[in-house]
Amino acid sequence: MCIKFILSIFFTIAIINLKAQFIIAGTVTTIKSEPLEGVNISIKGSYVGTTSAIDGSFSFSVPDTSTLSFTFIGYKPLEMKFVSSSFSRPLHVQLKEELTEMEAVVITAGTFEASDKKKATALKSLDVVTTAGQQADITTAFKTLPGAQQVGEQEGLFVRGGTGAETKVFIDGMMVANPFYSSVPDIAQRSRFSPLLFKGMAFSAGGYSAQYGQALSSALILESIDLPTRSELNLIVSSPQVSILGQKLTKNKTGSLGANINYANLAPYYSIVPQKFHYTKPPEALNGDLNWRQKVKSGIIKVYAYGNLNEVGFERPSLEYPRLSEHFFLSNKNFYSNATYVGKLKHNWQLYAGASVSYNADNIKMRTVKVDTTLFSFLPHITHRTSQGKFVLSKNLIGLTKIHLGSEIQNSIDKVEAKDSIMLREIKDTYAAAFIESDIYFTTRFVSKIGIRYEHSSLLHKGVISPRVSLAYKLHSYSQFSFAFGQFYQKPETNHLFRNHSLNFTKSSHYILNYQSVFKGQTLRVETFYKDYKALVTIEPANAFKLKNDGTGYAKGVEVFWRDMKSIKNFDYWLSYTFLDTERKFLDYPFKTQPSFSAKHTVSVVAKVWVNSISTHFSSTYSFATGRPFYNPNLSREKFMSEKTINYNSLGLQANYLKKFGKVNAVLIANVSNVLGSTQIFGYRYSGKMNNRGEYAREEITPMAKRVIFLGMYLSIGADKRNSIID
Amino acid sequence: MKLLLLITAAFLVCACSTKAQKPILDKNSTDFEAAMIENIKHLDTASTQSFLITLANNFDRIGKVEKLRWEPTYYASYCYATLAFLSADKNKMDGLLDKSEYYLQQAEAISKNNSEISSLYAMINSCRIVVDPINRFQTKRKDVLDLLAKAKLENPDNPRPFLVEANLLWRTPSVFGGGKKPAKQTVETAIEKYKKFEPANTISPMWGELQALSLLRKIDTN
Repeated sequence: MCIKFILSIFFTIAIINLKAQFIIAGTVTTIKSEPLEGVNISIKGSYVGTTSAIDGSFSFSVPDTSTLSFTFIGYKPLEMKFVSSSFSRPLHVQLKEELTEMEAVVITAGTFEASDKKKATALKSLDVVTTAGQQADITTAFKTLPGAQQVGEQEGLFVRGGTGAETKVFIDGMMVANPFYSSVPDIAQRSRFSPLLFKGMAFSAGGYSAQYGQALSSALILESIDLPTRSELNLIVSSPQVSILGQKLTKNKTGSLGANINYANLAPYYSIVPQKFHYTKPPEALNGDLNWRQKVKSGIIKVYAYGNLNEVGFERPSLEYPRLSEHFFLSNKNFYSNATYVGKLKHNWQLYAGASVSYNADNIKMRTVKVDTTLFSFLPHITHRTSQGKFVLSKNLIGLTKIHLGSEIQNSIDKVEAKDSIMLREIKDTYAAAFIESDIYFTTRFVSKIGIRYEHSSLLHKGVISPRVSLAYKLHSYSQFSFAFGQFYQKPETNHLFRNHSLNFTKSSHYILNYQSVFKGQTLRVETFYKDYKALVTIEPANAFKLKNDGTGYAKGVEVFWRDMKSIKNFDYWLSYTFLDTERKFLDYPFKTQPSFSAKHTVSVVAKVWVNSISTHFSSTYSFATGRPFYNPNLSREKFMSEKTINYNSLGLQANYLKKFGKVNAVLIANVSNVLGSTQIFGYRYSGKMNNRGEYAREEITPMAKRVIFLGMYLSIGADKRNSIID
Repeated sequence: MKLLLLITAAFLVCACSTKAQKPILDKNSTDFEAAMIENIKHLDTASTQSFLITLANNFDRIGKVEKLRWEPTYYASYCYATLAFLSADKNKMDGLLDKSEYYLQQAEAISKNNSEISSLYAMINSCRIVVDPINRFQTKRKDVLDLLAKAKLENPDNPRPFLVEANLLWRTPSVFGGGKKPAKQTVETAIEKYKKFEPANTISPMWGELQALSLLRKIDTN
């Protein structure tokens, strides 16, 4: 009895004790039942708690009734009331991933982004500057990506069976009317804008957002930097060019003012390195830009203005008239300016507003000359003016789901006049567009972007509606599938509209399927696409003024991109392969055939290595493309585009040597194109007239010199006093 | 005999059930300072991932209760920064640094213009450079230098900004102004300051002296 009593007392104490404190055990997993390690499990309002182990398990003692809280960064916190009587063990807790912009799936179909903001980008902003090739040309790096063709005789990006004119360039959301230096026959021109201006660049080979229009094949979307990191003065001295670049960051770091001025003259270089044509006026350019950026209470204002004057002239032997020479001279004036504002409004709305103006004037003189008599001359004066306004309103709905709606208007005036041959022609157009688009996140892993764009041209008297849909599904944290579909419209090129105003929009439809995996510094992308072209402009061979919209075409292909930054320390390389099967009937093509600007197979390999011991960054780019078709007028019309050029091979090397002289940081740059001296033939120029042997004479279209050697020095003086590493 | 066994067993049951709660409940919930000290003392020796996460979670829980104290979230942030610093896998560093920053933002919201918080921000950002030096060096270095300048201004006697700077200089190639000489100079300044440093109270940051000494050894033997 006594014993029983004592025992029962003890047991009662034990039970009371156990009742007040209860050992709780269980596991925490993701909704896919993968164990979560490191979850913080606590009793609300106290320090008490524990951390889940590697298998997601946990156990600790808790008071009888309490609120348990499970928190883990990146997951939605979970709370549960705990009452021991209703406690069934073991406890299984599942945490849901929280959507964060960094980790959520993004649509990658068609688009290559070069940005430092997001993690899963194939390229970084710096890659665009450090890729060997045409020095500091923004298109150089993008030409090594799948989808882009190796077209060397004309400026622009030729993408997936599209012409250079079918790729549009956008800066801060505004279309740039003349992104490249004005065309010169058979010589590709560089892009006007320095890659150093931009923090983010996206190259879309198709299927892009409803926010952009008037690009049938591709869009290059550039986003300028917000504020420079410091005040500095830079000087660039190079074989073709001298530049002074300055930027001043205000004291409170909310605004900046920058100015660049460049003077380029190729005369000294051409006097040492002979060129294929005789330059009567080696390229000479004077240009500069100004930028002003100001952070305001809820956003940022950016203003950018660019102006350029340049001249180039050369002579080459005439094919039509043996022993005579053809003279070409171009003088260009260009001005471009844009102003944008991005900022937050009330109630989760975001506003983007922008305006731009551009002016371009080309004075061209083409003459066929015999000693001092001019046999034939064509002296066109072409001007282009655009003004543009655009706004986009965006709102975050739930989680990451967003809606965007916006509108834009562009007024353009194009004029052409040629002394003795063309009376002044002028075309005016008011282009207006409106779009609505939404990014809908069904889950962290599944997103869709659905948009629709309406475009109207007053010149064409036509309005069109283009739907755009893309989807992305994330398989793992590192791999995903994307799909994109879109319809795209573009006004016919200006030189066609000059001849016929009553043309229609040209049209393309894109279908793209993409797989991307970014894992531990290795990126693999595989993309396949089908494109359908309709209403392309055709020209009757016998009458260059008879233009119609009955051209058609298709393009399909497979593209692979592989980048490895991990396997070898300080060594980084990428490889891209493009298979393109495309045919078109447009311009004066007699039937549907592979166009002259497309190659079946294209391969690019870019390798970069940083050698610490000599402070030098080396970069090399190798590109290969199979021959492109060309038209030989000596053959019958049935054999149109039946001949192909030789394969294209190009190896470029670049070395950047970094050195500090006192307070000045210097980079010495050497860049050599076509190091191996491979013969590069882009096509053939045929005489317009039969010679006395009854043939059309021809000349190869090649680069002006086997190699281009660029030597330069970049000096940077930082004005930041606290910058102890520099000082 | 039987009785004795039973009683002993009964005692044990009682004793165990009271004991089980003790290390967690009593120590932690009643005394903020004691709880902090208990966790801080492990910081210098903690090197395994799971232990550092456990400590971070302990600080996080304290922080959720003591909403006016900046130290708990500061230390939680420090745990993740250390994890990133020790991590051999560069691909995991950004994620850890994100967590570190998440806590440090909470600490900063409570205590503004705090030299310790600025130093830790500088450490986080210099770790970010290590993840991808080629692309981040230019922009992030600027952030680190600004933060270090801020930290030194907020408390000129704080040795930690000098330690963070020395680490950065040591990892920066000499063409960019880093290297052995400036790193050594800076770490020596840090060590001097560590010798004189008086923490404000028992739970204010103390870490780094051992790291500074080992960095100096590393520089000297290289």
